[in-house]
Amino acid sequence: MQKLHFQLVTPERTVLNEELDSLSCPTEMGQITVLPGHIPLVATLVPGELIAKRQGKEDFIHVSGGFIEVRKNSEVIALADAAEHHYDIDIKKAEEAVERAKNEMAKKKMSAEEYTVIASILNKNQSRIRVARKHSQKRH
Amino acid sequence: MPGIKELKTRIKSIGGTRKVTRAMQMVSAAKMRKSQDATLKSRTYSTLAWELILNLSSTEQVMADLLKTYPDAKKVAVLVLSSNRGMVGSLNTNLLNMVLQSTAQRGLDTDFITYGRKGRDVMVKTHKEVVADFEKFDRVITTTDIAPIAEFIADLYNSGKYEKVFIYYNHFVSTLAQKPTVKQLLPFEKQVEHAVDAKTEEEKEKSEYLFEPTAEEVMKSLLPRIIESQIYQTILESEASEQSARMVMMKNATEAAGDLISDLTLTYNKLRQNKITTELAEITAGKIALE
Repeated sequence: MQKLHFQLVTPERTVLNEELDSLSCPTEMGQITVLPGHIPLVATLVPGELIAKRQGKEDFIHVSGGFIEVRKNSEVIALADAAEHHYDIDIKKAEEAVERAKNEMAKKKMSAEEYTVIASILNKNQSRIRVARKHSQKRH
Repeated sequence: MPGIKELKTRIKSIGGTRKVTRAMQMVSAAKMRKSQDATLKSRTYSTLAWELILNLSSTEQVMADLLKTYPDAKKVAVLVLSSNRGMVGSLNTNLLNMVLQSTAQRGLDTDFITYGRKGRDVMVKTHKEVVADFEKFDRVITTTDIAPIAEFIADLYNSGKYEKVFIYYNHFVSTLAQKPTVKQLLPFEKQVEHAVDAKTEEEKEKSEYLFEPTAEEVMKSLLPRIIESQIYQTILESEASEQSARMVMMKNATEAAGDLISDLTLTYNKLRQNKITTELAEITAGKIALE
């Protein structure tokens, strides 16, 4: 069977570079799944969970926005702003970040720009927590 | 022939210089490793991002401000990435010579944007049109530091007065080799060096892309990101080049100082020996004369 050639890269590193059976990722229009033979596509990623499936193994990776490009020949490239495996997420730290962001939003007046930054931090960390919690039982 | 005393002071002062250059070598070696690491790791991202935009710009279906071309514009803009400090051998000189030469060749009005003190100084001295200067920080840069530069360049290009925007930087090849390089940032076009590519044939029959949510939306967030990532990468490259060049220079200086010291020490010892021999001969001669 045909496979997906998948690369997940962030400005800091290459997170994944593998052959996959299928890939699900969070886009602005909702979660989409890409199978081999998909037509060329470009979409924006939103904070959420990216699931990379290959024979008998699944990787759950949190991405915090970016882009995904599906090329011909089933090449898939995800340019993420940041990405981490679910078992690498530090829930405690993420919760602290959420707390901090909420406090900031509540207490002081800020410019629209600052607000967007904090809102996106909040959004990102909440989704990190969701992803980490969802898989926390499977942790080893 | 210098005297024994002068030689001694010289040896001492060169020893002092060697200590300084060795310390600087250590510092830049540490910085070099860090910046080389960062450069190599982010290369994949920026290459893939660049490929993406090339693929997209070759399809006809998308239109965005930054994809427009202005073939009639009379000006080009050039972003020059140099270092803040010297002691990097010919790194800056080579780059700036290349900038000045190619500017003269192009024959178009060129506006300069400088990043790094050395480049700015040369541009000001040669009376070039510097439209903006961005401060180079002596710390690890992040994408947020790049945002203002990217925004400035995008605005500049959108004004329609510029045909092309180039980046001049030192491409990091290895610790021993850095290559002054020019990259065309805007409009997005295949670089000449990549043009002869096995993929070209296949890419001609470009398939249409599907955009989600819409082409405009995607382009609006994608294009600034791409410009940002390209500038970020070139800054990382030139940072790695700078640190490597400095490390190598300082290493050479330390070694040269060592050679000089051993040469001088040899001369010093010879002189000293000579003096002793002369004195001994005098004493013996005096003794013989007395007998």
